[in-house]
Parts: sequence; C-alpha cells; structure tokens
Amino acid sequence: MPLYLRFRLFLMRQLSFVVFVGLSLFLSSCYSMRKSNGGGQIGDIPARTINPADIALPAGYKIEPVARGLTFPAAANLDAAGNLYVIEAGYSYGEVFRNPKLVRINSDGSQTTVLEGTNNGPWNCLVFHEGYFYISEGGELEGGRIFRVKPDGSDKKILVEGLPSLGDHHTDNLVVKDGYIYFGQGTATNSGVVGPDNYNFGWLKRHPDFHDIPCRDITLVGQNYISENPLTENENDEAETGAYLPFGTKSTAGQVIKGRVPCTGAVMRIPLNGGAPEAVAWGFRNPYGMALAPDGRIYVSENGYDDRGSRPAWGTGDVLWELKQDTWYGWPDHSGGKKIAGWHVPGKGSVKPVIKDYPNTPPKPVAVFGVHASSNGMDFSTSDAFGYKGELFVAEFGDMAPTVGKVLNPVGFKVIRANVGTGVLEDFAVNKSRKNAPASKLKKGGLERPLSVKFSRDGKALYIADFGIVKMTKKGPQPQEGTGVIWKITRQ
Amino acid sequence: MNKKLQYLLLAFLGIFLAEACAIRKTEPFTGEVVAPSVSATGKTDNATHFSNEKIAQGHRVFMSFCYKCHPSGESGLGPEVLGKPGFAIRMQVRHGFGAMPAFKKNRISKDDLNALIAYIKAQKRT
Repeated sequence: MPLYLRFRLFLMRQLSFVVFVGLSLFLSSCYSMRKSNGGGQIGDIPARTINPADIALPAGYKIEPVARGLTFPAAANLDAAGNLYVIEAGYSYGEVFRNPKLVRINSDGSQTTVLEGTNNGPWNCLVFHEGYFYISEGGELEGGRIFRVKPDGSDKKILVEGLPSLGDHHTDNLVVKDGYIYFGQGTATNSGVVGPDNYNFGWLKRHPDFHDIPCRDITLVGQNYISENPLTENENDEAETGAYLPFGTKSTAGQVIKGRVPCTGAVMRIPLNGGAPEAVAWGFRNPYGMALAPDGRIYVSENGYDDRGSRPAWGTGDVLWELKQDTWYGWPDHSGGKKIAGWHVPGKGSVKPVIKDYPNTPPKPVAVFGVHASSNGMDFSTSDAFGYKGELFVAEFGDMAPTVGKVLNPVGFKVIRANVGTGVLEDFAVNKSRKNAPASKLKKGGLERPLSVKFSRDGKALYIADFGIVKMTKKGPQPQEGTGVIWKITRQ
Repeated sequence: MNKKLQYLLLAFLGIFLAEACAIRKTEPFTGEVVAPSVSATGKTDNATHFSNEKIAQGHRVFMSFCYKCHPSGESGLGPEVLGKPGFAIRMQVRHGFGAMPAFKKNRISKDDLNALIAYIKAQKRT
C-alpha cells in the first residue's frame, strides 16, 4: 500500500477513536437524556441499619452512634455538665406534624424527654449558653419563635415570636454574640413568587395570603408569572402573580413593596433576654446554618434555589457567606453574588429579574456548595486535639430530588469541612461506596441525612444529627419516623 | 474482525471498565490532618493539603467554577469529571456542550484551565 494511503488510514483510525470516545463521553454525560437519580429516590424503604464501618473518615478518626431510633433529630448539644441533648424537629417536609421534643440522652443510652412542644415545628437549633438552651421553633403553623429553657425543662421563656415562618422555610439556626441572639429567617418561597409549588408544600391552602416580606423598601420591575390555580376547583383556572405579593396578585412596573421587620430571607437579632427583632442583613433565600468563628465573625449557610414553581432557577449552589451588617445578599435576583437573570433553566426558559434597583452589589461568597446539597448546620473546630482547627464543618442533608429539580447522582448526605480563608471544601465523613449516596440507597449502615454538626465544649468530639430516612417521590417527601441517629466522631 | 473494529471495542471496554470499576476518588481522604495557619486578620492561609502549587491553583479554580455541579469531582447536578481525559475536559469547558455553559478565556484563563486539568488528573492520586 502506498505510503500516503497508509498515513490516511492511520489518520482515519485516530479520528474514529477520538469521535467514538467523545461520543461516548457526551452520551454518558448528557443531562437531558438522563433521569433524576436523587438520594431519596429509592424503591422500598429499608429498615435503618447502623454500621460505623460503612462510613469513611480521614485516618485516625473514629465514628460511633450514641443515640438511635429518634424521630427527625435536628441538632445535638451538651449542657455545662457534659450531658448530651437532642431536639427532635417535630415537623418534617412532607407535611408530617409531630410534637417537637428536647430529649436528654442518658449515659446508658436511654432517652428522657425533658420538654415537649406543640404542633409548631420544626425545632431547628439547640444552642447552650450560660445555663440555658436556646431553641428556634420553625413555626410552620403559628409562626416562628425563639425561646430558652433550662436543661431540666424548667424556666422556659419565649424571647421572640410571630416570625414569618408559615411558608417554605422557617426560623433557622442562631448564635449568641455580644448580648444578642443572631438568627436566620427563611423565605416564604423559592424565588419570590408564590405558586403551585407552595400549594404542594401544604402551606398555600392554609395561608393563601402569605408571601415574602423585604426588610427594606424595594421597587419591582412588574414581572408577573402565570400558573395554574390550585386554590380553585376549576382545573383550567389560572392565576397571575408578582414577586413579594400574595398568590394571584399581579405586580406593576415601579411598584414599591414596603419593607418591614420581621422580614423573610434575613438574618435578624434580638437582645439575649428577648425583645423586638432588628434586621442585620437580608436578601438570603434560606439562611439555615449559622456559626460563630473563633475570631468573632459569623458565617451563614444559605440553601440555594430550586428548579420548581413559577420562577424556577437552575444550577444555583448553596452558599457560604460571611455575615456583614446592613448588607443585601442578592435574593431573589442573584445566586452566590451573581445575577441569575438570563440563566437558562433546562426545558423552562430563562430567569427574569423581579427587582428594579438593587440595594447594593451582593458580596462575594466564601464558598459555593453543591447544587441541592442542602448545606445546613455548621460548627468550627477549635481544638488541636480534634484537628483541622479553624475550619468550618458543615452537615449536608442531601438533595430532595426530584421535588427540587433533577440531579444525575445524589448530592450531599455527608459532612464536609470548609476553609473559610480560601473557600476550599473537602469531604470529612462520607459513606463508603463507589458513588455518593445515603445509606438507604446504598443498602448499608452509614450516614443518611446529616442535618447539623456540633463540637463538644472541649472541641474533642463532633456530634452529627442525622435526620433519618426521607424517601422522595414526585408527590413529595416521605420522612420515616424513628430512623434518626446521633453520631459522635473523635480522633484516636 | 478487522483491526479498526477491535480498536473500537477495546476503547469501549476501556471506558466501561474505567467508569464501572473506578474507586471513589474522594473516599480515602489523602493528605495528613493539617491545621490551617491563621493570619492576624483571622483569615486562614494555606489553601489545601496539596504541595504542588499548580495543583493547588487548579483546586481553587475547581472550587470557583466546577464544584457546585460536580461536587468533589463526582456526579451531582452534572456528570462526574474525575477520570475524564484532559482534552475532553478542555473541550467541554471551552464549548459547554449540553446543559453546561461555556467558560471562555476571559473567565477561565489558559493557565487556570491547565491548572484545573492538572488538579482533576491529580485526583487519581487516591
């Protein structure tokens, strides 16, 4: 064969190889061709099994369960004497209402309920400060509250109530600093517009006039969204809704929405002994996690947008922020400091802005977590004995696909650590498997849905509140009672 | 069977095995336990446990542009990127096939893209 023909054949072989490899990679990666594979998208719900050997940790660390059989545990903490306490949230997405509880875990592993709340969960936070536990009550039915109580369940005092928590998100975590309680307050909606997704959550039927509230006055561009109207029996009935307005209420260009406090999507503060809230910062979506750094800075984890509702967004990760006074953080027109206007949502068009003039340019985030990871409770390592001193540990509850949107593989379901100086995130505790997933999906005995982390007062042990199994369906979440676990990690 | 077909089958088998038998790259947690140094401003200074500056640079680029859809390089909102060939990553980043947007040189410089690919390849270290 002539030399030029052999060379041509060689080139064709190389080219076909490149095309084949490229095509294989493309097809295996194509977003639109693949079904959602979220961590909660499981078949039969397995019994919760516990096996620390199924969890991978850095060398030298040990994990063990210290409490199990809990229903929706949201946080764990220790009193001054070193006794372990847990709060059971009471409420879970999926419209499951139980009474929230403060539970003491006794040295023999038995559990004693020291305080039982009413049907107004979820209890989201458990902070111990100068003899009292400070608890945030999410307020799904009656509005959010923060109260304090002694570890034996006595001397309960409500410090603030009537917080706007009747929607998608609730009164979140808190920290105590300089005589104030700083706390997060989530938004009513995904992205500012009340829609059928809120009916599916359950609250729009209960509170058809509820909507988001800005902390300061804002001016709207007049963008409205047409959706089905689930509040009427006519299947063809439609509603047109603007941002920051009740369902079925249109906005107009130049319309001013008056700001007031308490507001949604904000960090507010109250005096330690209670009082009227004041806004610290706003423009968050759901500022669920909050942690006080050793240097006195406050860090906030914000749950990012979902691909749902009248105004879906896509590709927006959870965000780690440093809290700055009197600052607007960008919701509902930004994600992680970047404008989302024009961002493409697969199969649904592009996002349009709703606010005319922004209060300020949103700050730059410390880090951006995985999309739909649900990056929640956080705490700083302060101990050389534990290691990673100065780094922030973050519990990732894990995706709630397909309700929040599609994912190709489970996201979250682990504990990660964040270097707040560089924004670098690293896994710390994950399930052993070829692919990331919760234990129920792997049919193993590891982590399910870590919701919060808390270091012991000496910093030598890290406690993880693992919410338990939540099966996800197209109709919504199915949380499983009695599957929650508290894990303890120590360094050998 | 001609040689061309054999090459294609071998290539397919190689890709399949690489995908199917890959050990999860994030699981073994390479690197020793390192306490980040804290500056006078309270900011932590050392970026990662990587000693190679190029890879550390790539890690920072990955955190800025890639992590949210490919957390720790694994599949999430987007597909897994660990184990993908450098040319495929380069092409995907620059042209943004599918749902992923393109990142041109004004967003990820040539130097940063080289560092990013070096970082992703370095994940094989585990």
